Order: sequence, then C-alpha cells, then structure tokens
Amino acid sequence: MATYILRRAIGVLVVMFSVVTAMFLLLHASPVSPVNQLAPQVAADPVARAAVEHKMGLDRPLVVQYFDYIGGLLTGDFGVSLYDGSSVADQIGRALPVSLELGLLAALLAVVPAVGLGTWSALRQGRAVDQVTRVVTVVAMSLPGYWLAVVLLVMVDNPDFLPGAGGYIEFSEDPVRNLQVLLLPALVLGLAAFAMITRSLRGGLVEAYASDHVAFARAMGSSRTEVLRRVALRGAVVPTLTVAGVLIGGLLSGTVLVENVFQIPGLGQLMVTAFQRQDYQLALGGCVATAAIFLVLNLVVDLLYLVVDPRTRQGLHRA
Amino acid sequence: MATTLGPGSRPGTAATPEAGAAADQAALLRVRGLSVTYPSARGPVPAVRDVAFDVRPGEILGLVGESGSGKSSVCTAVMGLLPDGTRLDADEIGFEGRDLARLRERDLRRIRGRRIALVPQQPMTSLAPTTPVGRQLRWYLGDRLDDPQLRGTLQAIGLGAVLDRPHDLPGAFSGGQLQRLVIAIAALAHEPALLLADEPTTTLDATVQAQVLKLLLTLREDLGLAVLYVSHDLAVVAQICDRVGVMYGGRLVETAPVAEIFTNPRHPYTRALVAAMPSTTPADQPLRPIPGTAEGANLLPGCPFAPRCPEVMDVCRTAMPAPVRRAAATVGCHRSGGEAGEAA
Repeated sequence: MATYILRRAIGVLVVMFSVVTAMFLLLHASPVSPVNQLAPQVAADPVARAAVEHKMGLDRPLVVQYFDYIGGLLTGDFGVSLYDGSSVADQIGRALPVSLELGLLAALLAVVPAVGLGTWSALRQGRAVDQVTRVVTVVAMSLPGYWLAVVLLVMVDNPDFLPGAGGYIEFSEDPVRNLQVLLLPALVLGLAAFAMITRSLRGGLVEAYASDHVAFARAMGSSRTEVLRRVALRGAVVPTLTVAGVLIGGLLSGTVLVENVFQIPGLGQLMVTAFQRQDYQLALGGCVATAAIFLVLNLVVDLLYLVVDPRTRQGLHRA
Repeated sequence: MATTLGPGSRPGTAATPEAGAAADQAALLRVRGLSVTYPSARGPVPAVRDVAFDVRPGEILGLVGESGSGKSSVCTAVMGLLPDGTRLDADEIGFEGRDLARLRERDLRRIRGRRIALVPQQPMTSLAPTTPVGRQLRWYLGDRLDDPQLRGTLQAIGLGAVLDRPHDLPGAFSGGQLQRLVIAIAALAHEPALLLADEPTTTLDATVQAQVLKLLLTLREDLGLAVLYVSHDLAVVAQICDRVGVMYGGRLVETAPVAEIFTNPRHPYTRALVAAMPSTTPADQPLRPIPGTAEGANLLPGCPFAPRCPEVMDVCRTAMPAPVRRAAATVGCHRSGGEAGEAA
C-alpha cells in the first residue's frame, strides 16, 4: 500500500511537470507579449521594445527561460509579474485562500444537501420526493452560473450580501461579514455540483438496492435503513466519489465568472487579469496553482477508494 | 438419512393419502389463491396465478418448473419482498397463525430471517462484496458467533476456512464455501421454521452441489426446519424432496409425493417433464424434449400447457381446470377431472 501511495504521488509530480511545461511552451509560442500592453510609444518602437524585452529577460533563448523558470519553481520562486514587478507567489498567496474558502463553502453547500436528498429519493424511489428531486436537479444543472449570479445580484437588494468592488473582507478580519459576502457566490457555485452529486448518489443507491446482497440482507430481516448503512451506501459511494472529486476540484480552483460577477479577489479573477495583461509569469503561476489543487484532490480521492472499497487494496497486493 | 437418498427411501408423510382437512390444519405454510403480477411497459404481466400449496413442518417441498414459470416469484411473495409496483393477491399466506399477505412491512420484518429465511440463488453476490466475511457473519449471527457450539457447527459444515480468515472479503472464497456460508447464516442465525431455497445449487458444479444438498438435509434433520426448495432440476428434487409441486406458466399444475411424481405422474406436463429427464431415457435413445416453448404460457386464459399438450381438448384452451385430489396428489387437468369424477 505504501508503494501504491508513493507511486501515485510520483504520478502527481510527473503530471504537474507536464502541465508546467505545456503551459510554458503554449504561452511563449503564442503571439502575445506583455510588451504589447505597454504604452504605444514603447510597444510600437522596435528599439524601446527590445530594451523592455531585454529587461524582462524575454530576449534570451526559450530553453534558457524555461530552465530558469523551472529552477525557480523548484525553490518556490514563481518569478515576478511582468506587469508591475510584484512577486507572483505573493499574489497567488493572497488569491488562493480566498478561492479555497469560497470553494470549500460551495462544496459544503453542495455535498451536505446532496447526500441527504440523494439518499432520501433513493429510499423513496419513484415516489413524490424522487420526482421532485429529479426536476430540481435537472433545473439546477441547467441554470448557467453566471446568469444565476446576475439574477441574484438584481434580486437580493441587501448590501450585506453584495460586496461590490473591493468589498470583500477576509475571514480573519470579520468572520460574519466574510461568510455573508461569500454565501451567495458559494450558493451559485455549488448548485450544479449539488445537482450532479445528488443524481450520482441516488443512481448508485438505486443500483445497490437492486443487488443480490441487499436482497439477502432484506431477506434476513434487515430494515431499509440498516441495509443502507451496512451494505448499500458503500457501493454507491465509489462512483459518487469520482464525480465529487472532479466537481470539488473545479470549485476550489476558483471560477472565473462567479468570482468576476461577485467581485471576489480569488484565483479566477487573478488569472483573468493575468491573461488580459499577457503577463506570462502570473498566468503560469495561476495554472500551476490550479493544477496542483486538482491533482492533490485526485490523489485524495484515490486514497479514499482504498478506504471505501477494500477490494482495491486486495487488487494492489495481487498486482 | 444423509447421503443416499432416492425417491423411494423417504420416510414419514410422503406416500400416505391423508385426509385433506387434517393435513391443511397441520401446515406450517399455507398458501391459497396466490397471484403475483408484475408491471411492464406493455401492461401487467402475471407471473404467478392462483397458486395453492402447503408446506408441512419438517418437510421439504420441491417447486419445479422452467425459467419464468413463477417459482421464484412464489418465494419472493412469501417473504413479502416483491419489488415496488408488483401486485400481490392472495386469499391466504398462512404462517404460524398469521396471514403474511396482510401483514405490514414492520411485522413482516420480524418474521423475515427469524421465522422464514431465504437461501438465495447467487452465493457469489449475496454477501456484500466490500465487507470482510467475519463482520458480515457478526451482522447476522451477533454475539452467537462467539458461541463455541455454533463455531463447532460452522466448522462441521466446512466453514473452517471462513472462521480462520474472517478478514477476507467474500471474493476470496469459492462459490461452494459462500453458498454453505449463506445457508448457515439463513438457517443458524435465528433457527427459522421455514427455509426458502431459491435454486441454491444452480450456479455450483455437481460435486459442490451434492455437498450443499447434504448440508440442507443435515440442517433439516438437526433443526427440524421445513424447506421450500425451488429448482428447475428434477434430479436434485428427486434427491431431497418429500413432495413436489410442478409449476408451468405461473400455475401449479400438480402437487404430489416425490415417488408419485416419478412413478405415476398425472399431469401431461409432469409426464413430459419426467420423460425428458436424461436419467429416465435409455442410454441408446435420444433425449425426448417437450415440443414447443413455454413462452407466453403465463398469459393463456386456459391451461398454460394446452399449446404443447399431446392430450389437449377444446376446453383446455378456454378454462383452467380446477385442482382435484387423486390419492396423495393434487392435479389441475381437465383429463384428470373427467376420468374419475369429483374432487376431494
């Protein structure tokens, strides 16, 4: 098992490295350049351009730039923003906790009701609860987040819930206000995930209830809830875990549109700004952070499989 | 009685043509007018139609029939575990003084596993695949699992491996071991009065099948439990059953002591079935399959066997014959009704 975890961790590093390389090459292969963003006098003047590019180190061979960047990453140095010279690590360090908090809140608002509703509608399969859940989840999945965000902005006429530009307050400063500000965006963000997890769990449970071992447990006099606890939930959780892992990865890594509409200074906002300014270093740093969140979450899900389904453990021994 | 059991060697109740009323009173399970109808996209599909039979205490009643004849549905109906949306009609499913057809789920749950237990068809998948066998044994047996006497019994029926490796998942054991384990759980957890065995040996190979049958007989001897043994295999039924009910197209066409079924089958379907058995066919003769198929038999208004019956009459196609008693047998056939007059 230890070797399995080690293998998975190495896999994460390999993917991470590939992501960085691919993003680096893509950005440098594209015709954009941070110099384009400068004043026209500079951007249009070949001599001035060359001077700025030299200052930014962009005139060096690509290989040199690449190894310079990788070397920096290995020592935790994400470089400096090509736009204003500030530290990329600092900017990500400020944006990442905001996105993580928003994502966690959204995940919480998605998973908790999804588990309840998914289980309930599986137990009452085909009845009213199940039907209503079906409709609610389809609607929830079909509503575009950015649209819902705008609708909420118009409908909720309460400044407590709407920070406006710069109105975001950190948790350490004012927890209540912080949560108030994050509630609406978290709801919007978590809605689709809630719907998908509900559907996945319901489907898994319904399938589990049709299985032979549930039939045997029922024939031995177990009640539906006993069967749920002992037998059915375990089988249903595995596919749901996969879905939830991917969805929550998406929530945590910041979402461009929702952060933008609600003016939350998270990773999504940061990336948008970086790409607008054609700021290689900042954009790359943002990609690394996003990829890291996804990969770590994937690793966590893989490890959870081992806990939930011991068959995977036995498979490892044999392999 | 354990190993060498043929149709002739059955003691007790089997061949005595006892009077109807007295036998009915003594029945452990008394099923009357049982019908099961499944919903489908093309309307309701009857699976069991107006079935009546008794299981007496300590008796093994075989229920034989082709796939789709409704025999498994009878089991599920008795357990009260038909899927949602299924229609169950019954004049009576009498068991230990209660009518199971009219009990609420909560009361049924107290009977399931405790007074009536079910041995499922698929031993490989009937235990939760992701929970170690030891923990599952404890779910069902509770603290009795620590009882040395019970552990001795489990050892004796060949479950030593399971007791030795309680942390292994069900997938680590063989089909035979799992089926013995499932039977042990069903029979020993609460020592029920009635065991419903739904084709428990279908998925096992012949030698393992013999072990499982022997185990069922031993348990019947030791615990005095009655067994409703559902099977499509007449040879197995001949080995272990006291009486046999033959189902076709959702109807119980004949019920008789096992010896009668083989020596003096009364219903044309039973006759054809016995004649089709490889063991009743001389070695140099080809097998004699029953012509036609059973498909759609459960939808016919008259006798379900009419389309394939060599002795079919006009009335057979329109009206289901009422069951009549012939010695120890009960037969539902217009031919039988016509031959010897009135029902007992």
